Parts: sequence; C-alpha cells; structure tokens
Amino acid sequence: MKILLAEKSKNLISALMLVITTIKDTAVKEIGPILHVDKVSSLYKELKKEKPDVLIINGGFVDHKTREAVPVMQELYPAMTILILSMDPKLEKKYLEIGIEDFILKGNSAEDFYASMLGFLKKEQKRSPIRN
Amino acid sequence: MKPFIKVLILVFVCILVLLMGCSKKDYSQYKEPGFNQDIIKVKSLNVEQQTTFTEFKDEMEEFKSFSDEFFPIWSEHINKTSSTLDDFNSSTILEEKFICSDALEKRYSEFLSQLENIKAPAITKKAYELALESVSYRILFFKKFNQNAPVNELSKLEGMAYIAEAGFWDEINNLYRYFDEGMARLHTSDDDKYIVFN
Repeated sequence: MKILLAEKSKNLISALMLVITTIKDTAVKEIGPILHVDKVSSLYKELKKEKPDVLIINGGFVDHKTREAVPVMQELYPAMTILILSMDPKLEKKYLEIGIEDFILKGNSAEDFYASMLGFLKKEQKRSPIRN
Repeated sequence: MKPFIKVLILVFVCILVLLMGCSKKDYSQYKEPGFNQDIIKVKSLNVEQQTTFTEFKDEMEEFKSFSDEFFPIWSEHINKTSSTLDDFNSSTILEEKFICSDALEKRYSEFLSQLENIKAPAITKKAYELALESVSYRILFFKKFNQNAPVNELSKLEGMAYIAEAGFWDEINNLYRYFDEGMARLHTSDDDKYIVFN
C-alpha cells in the first residue's frame, strides 16, 4: 500500500511520517512507501508518477479549493482512496456530499488523531488485497 | 319653549358632554414625530451588535493577555533546553543520552507546571490543551527513553508530541484568522466601531 501525504506544514509532515511509520511497524504491515509533497504542483506530478493507493491530503492544501480538486483526482485515479485532514468539523459533511467518506479532524487530541489514523489504515489494509 | 322641554334639552346636552369626556382617547396624534416601532427595533439591534462587538473585543484582549504570558514561558523553555536537546540528539553514547534524557524530562516537567499555572481563556482552550498534551508526550518520551523502552513505543510518543504541537500551531493560526476576519468585518460594517476599537 503506497501512501502519498499532501501537506504544506513541514511539522505536520514529520509528525505524520512518524505516526504512519509507527503504525506500519506495529499494526499495519501492508503499508509500503510513504511519500510526501508540500506543493500543489508536486502533488499532480507525484500522483501521475507514483499512482499511490492512498492520498492523505490537508483540507486547505489546494489553496482553499481542495474540495473542488478532490473529485477531479478521484476521477483520474478511481482506485485511490482519499483521506482528508481538516481542522473544520463542518467540512466532513461537505466531503461526504462529494463521495469522500474518509475524514480525520485535526486539532483534537493526538490520541484521538492516532486512533483515527490507525482505524483508517486498518480499513485500507483490508481493502488492499482486492485492489492488488 | 316650555320649561319641561328646556330641562330635557339641558339634560341631553349634559349627558352628551359626559359621554364625550369618558370616551377612550386616541393618543396617536400626540406621538413624537418619527418616534415609531421601527426606530425601537433599530435601537435594539444596535444594542445586540454592540454586545457582539464587546465580546469580540474581550476575546482579543483575553487572547493577547494569554499570549503575553504563554509565549515568553515557551521561549524561555526553548532557551533553557536547546543545548541539552542538541546533546541528546547528537550523542552516540547511550549513557550520555540517558543523562540528557533525565535532565530533559525534568525541564519539560517544570515547563508543564508553569504552563498549567496559566489561566487559559475560553477562546484559547483548544490550543492550550494541545500544548499541554504535546509537552506531556515529550515528558513521557524522555521517561520511557530512560526506561529503555522499545523504539516503536518511543516513535509513537514522538509522533504524538508532534501531532499535538502541529495541532496547536494550526489552532493558533485559526485564532489569528478569526481575529483578522472579525476586524475586517468591523471595518466594513460600522465605522463608529472601528473608531471605538482604535
């Protein structure tokens, strides 16, 4: 399972890399390479080049237009699961309306964040054999 | 005219005058010019807006007072710990790392106590709790390091500390955005409030 992180904050990229690596080492062995981008232009190049199984993207990554960009990415790469990270709980409903079911709220406790990420990656682990 | 008819007319006139005097008066003609319900509504609305503005101003003052207390403590902590943290990261000798880790655990614990003494206003509650959580994970990290905990456990604690800290900065950015937007709204909606605010 190849993962691409799209996040502008270098601090959060480091944190996510650590968290996902820990989950990979302890609970979800199927996690493969964890790639990351911090620019919108790099995102589209990486998607085309790497074709990740999972895209973890910050809700504000595409200059506050991530919600408009996500359906396009989903259409181009239908097998790819998209997980949205956002500070705004109201956005979850809006993403659901466009068919994005995976949403993790940032800004809650780190414990909650870790549990949500673990739950999401375990779910993806179950999906990955069908995809491959 | 017969005296009887005169008396009858007099009685009739008296009754008429009495009836007119007891009838309900319409005071609408006495209304002050321009004083009507719409003005009362407008006045009430202004009072509500004023309350919102006052609350916003209070929130800004509370945030400023919190920041003035919180960030100098953080800055002082960074100054105190950065060299020990560098030593911890660069050392390749486990015994040296344990010494640094022990010192760092104590310094982060002191830092946590200082932060816990700050009274955080409602508007900064989320950011404040994330900061405390981040520091708590760092303390736990150094404590577990001293106990020779497995690498996975340490990586998880380090990741949790980073996640909480990243959440803290996101929340601080949110607060700045909230105040910027509030200020912009005040500038455009009511010049008087802008004057009061300055």
